[in-house]
Amino acid sequence: MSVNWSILPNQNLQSIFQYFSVIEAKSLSLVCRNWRTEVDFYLKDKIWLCVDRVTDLEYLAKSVRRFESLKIPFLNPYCEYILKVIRTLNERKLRYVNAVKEAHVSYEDSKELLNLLKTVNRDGTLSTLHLNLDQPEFLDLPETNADLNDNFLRSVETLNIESVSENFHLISKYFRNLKTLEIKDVENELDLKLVKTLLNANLALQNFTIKGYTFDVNTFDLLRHHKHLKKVKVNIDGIEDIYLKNYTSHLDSLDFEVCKLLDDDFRIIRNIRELKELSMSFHHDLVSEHSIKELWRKKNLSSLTVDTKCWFSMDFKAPQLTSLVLNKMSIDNYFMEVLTKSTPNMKTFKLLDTVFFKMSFRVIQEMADNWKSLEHLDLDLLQNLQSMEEEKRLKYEPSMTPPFEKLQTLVMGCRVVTTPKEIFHNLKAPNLKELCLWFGLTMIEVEIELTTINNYILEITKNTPNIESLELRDIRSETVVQLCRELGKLKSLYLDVPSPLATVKDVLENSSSVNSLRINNCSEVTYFPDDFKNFLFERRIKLVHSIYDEWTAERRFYGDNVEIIFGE
Amino acid sequence: MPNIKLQSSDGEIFDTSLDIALCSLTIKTMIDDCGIDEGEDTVVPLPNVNSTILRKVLTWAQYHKDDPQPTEDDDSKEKRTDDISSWDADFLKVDQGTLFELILAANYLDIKGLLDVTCKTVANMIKGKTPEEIRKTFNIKNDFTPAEEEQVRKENEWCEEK
Repeated sequence: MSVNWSILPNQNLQSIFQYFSVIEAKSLSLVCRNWRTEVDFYLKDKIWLCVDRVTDLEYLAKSVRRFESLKIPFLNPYCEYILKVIRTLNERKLRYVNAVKEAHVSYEDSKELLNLLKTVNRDGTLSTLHLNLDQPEFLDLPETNADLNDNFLRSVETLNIESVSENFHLISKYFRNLKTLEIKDVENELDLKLVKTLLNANLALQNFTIKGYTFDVNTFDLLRHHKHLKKVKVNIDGIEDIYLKNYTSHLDSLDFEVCKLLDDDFRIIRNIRELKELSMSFHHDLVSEHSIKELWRKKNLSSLTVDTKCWFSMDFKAPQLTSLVLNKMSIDNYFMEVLTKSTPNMKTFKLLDTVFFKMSFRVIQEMADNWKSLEHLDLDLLQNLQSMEEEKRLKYEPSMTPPFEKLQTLVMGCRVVTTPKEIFHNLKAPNLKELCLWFGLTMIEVEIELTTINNYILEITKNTPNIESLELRDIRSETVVQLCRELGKLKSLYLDVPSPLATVKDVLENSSSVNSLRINNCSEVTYFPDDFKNFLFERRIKLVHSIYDEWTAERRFYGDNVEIIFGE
Repeated sequence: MPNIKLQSSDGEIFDTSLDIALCSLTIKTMIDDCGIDEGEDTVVPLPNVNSTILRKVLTWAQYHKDDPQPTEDDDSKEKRTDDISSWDADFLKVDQGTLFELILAANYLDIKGLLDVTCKTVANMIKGKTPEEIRKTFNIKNDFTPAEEEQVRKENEWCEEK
C-alpha cells in the first residue's frame, strides 16, 4: 500500500519529530515544504540564531522563520559584517526578531549596543539578557533617555553582567522586573547605597548573586528588609550569628564563605525553615558533632556543599539529600559505604580536591549499589594515595558490579598508577551521555603511560555506548578514530591533541554523528596547508571568525552541520 | 467488567471489554460526556477508523490494558526510540499503509501509548537517512524549488542547538 506521508497531520508530524535531535531535525526540514514548516515550528525554542553565521543578507530578508533566541558573539569594531547583519535586522524589522526571549551580547561600543538591544527587544519579549561588557554605560547615553521610555527593558527578568561601576543605579531604573541578577566581579568596589537602591527598586528580585564582594554587617542588614529575596550567594567575612538569625530567615538558598562558625550558627541555619540549598565553607573547626549531624538531617535540605570540617560518621539516614558536593575531604572505602547507605536518593555527587586513602573499586561498587538514582558523578581521584589491590575487600567480583542505570554525566580526574583499573573495565553506565576524563601526568609519565591511558579510554567507553559528549586529553589519533567509529551517538568532542589538523580529518572521516569539535592548545595553528583547506572546502566548511586578543585566541569554522573550534 | 460495542467506519461491530475500550480517551469521553450508557446495548460509532485498523488497535489495547497510565513526568523524559518492547516491535511489523493508519487511529482515539510507539517506529525508519532517502522511503515529493532548498540549507547553517 503506497502512502504519501507528507499528508500526515501536523500534530502527528510533531509527535514523530520529537524523537530527533536538533541536528537531525535540520535534515528533516529539507524533505518537503510541509515538513520544513513543522520542523521550523518544532525547533524555534531549541536553537539560537547565531548572528555571526548569517552569510547572506538577501536570504535573511526573505526568511519567514521565527526564532526565539539570538546569539550575538563577541564583537569588536572590526567585525564589520556582523554589525551589518545587526543593522539589517534593525532596519528591515524582520519578523523573526519579534519573539526573542534570550540574548547573549558582548559588545564594547555602548551606542551600538543600545541599537542592538532595541533590535532584539523591539516587541518587549526579551526575558533573559547576558551582558558581557565592562560597564553598563549604554544605559546612561542621551539616546537611551531620549528614544526610549522606561519600559525599554522591563521584560528582562534575568540579567547577568560582568561587573558594575557608578552606573549601577541605572540597572534599577531600566530593569524593573528583574527576578535574577548575577554580577560576576565587583572587585569590592560596590557602593552599598546602590545595592540598597537596587533592592528597593526591584521588588521582584528573588535570586541575587554577587561574586568578588564581601558582605559585611551593613550589607547583610539589607537582606532583612527584602523578604522577596529567596536565593543569595555572597561572601561573608567574620559574621556574627545575629546576622544569620535576623537576616536570612526567608531564604531558600544560601551560599557563603565565612571565617568562623559556631554551634549557634548551625542552629540558626537549621532553623531557616525554607532552606533547600546550602553551600558553606568555614575555617575554624569549633562545631560539635551533634550540630553537624543535625544539619545533615535538616528537613527540606536537598542540596549541600561542604568541606571536611562539616563531617562526622553518618549513623543516620538523610534521604532528603539529592545533591552533595564534598570539598577537601579525606576519604576511604568505609566512608563511601556509610555515606551511600545514609543518602539513598542521591542524584548529584561531586568530590573535589579530595584525598583518598587506599581507594579500591569498592568505592564505585558502593555507589552503584546504594545510589540507584545517581545522574551526575564528579570524582577527583588525582590525590588517591595508593590503589588497594586486595580483591577480598571488594563487594562483588568486579564484573558483577551493578550498572549505574541513570548516570548521565561522569567527570573524573585520576592517575594511572593509583586509580583502580577496575573503574575502566567494570564501571557500567549504559545511559551515560557525557564523559570528561583526564589524567594527572608529569611529562615523564605521559611518555610511559600513554598506551595505558588510551587503553583505559577505550575500555571505559565500551561500557558506556550511548555517549554523546566526550572531553579527553592525552589521546592518540588511532584512539580518536576508534571512538568515532564505535560511538554512533557521539555528537560533541572536546580534545587536547598534539596534531589538531590531522585530528579534524580523522573525526570527520570516521564519524557521521559528531557535529561539534573543539580542539584546545592549538593557538599556534596560524597556517593551514592547502590539503587541509581543500578538505574543508570539500566538506563545505568555512571560517566563521577568528578572535585574537589578550583574552581569547580562537578560530571557528562551520558548515555542513559541523562546528570546529581551534582554541587556546 | 461489562462489554461495549464499537462500530468501525465500514460498519463492522466489535464487542469488546469496556476496560480495553477505555484505553482510548476519546471513547472514555464519549461515554462520560455524551450520555452513552455503558449498561445499555449502545454502539459507539468510530467513523474515522476502519475495521482492519480497529482490530489491530484492540489487539494492542488488550495486550497493554494493565500498563500504568503515562504521567507528566514521562513527557519530560528524554525521548528515546530504542526502547520499543519486542511485542510492540513484532506488532508493528506491518506495511507502511497500516502504520500510517495506526498513527491516525491512535491520534483520533487518543491512545497515547500506541501513538508513542507508532511514532517511534516511524522515527526509527527515518533516522540515519538523507532527505532524498527519506523521500524515497515515504513516497514524498520534493516540492522545493532549488532556490527554496538553498535557503533552507542556509538558514539551517545559521542555527545551533541551545
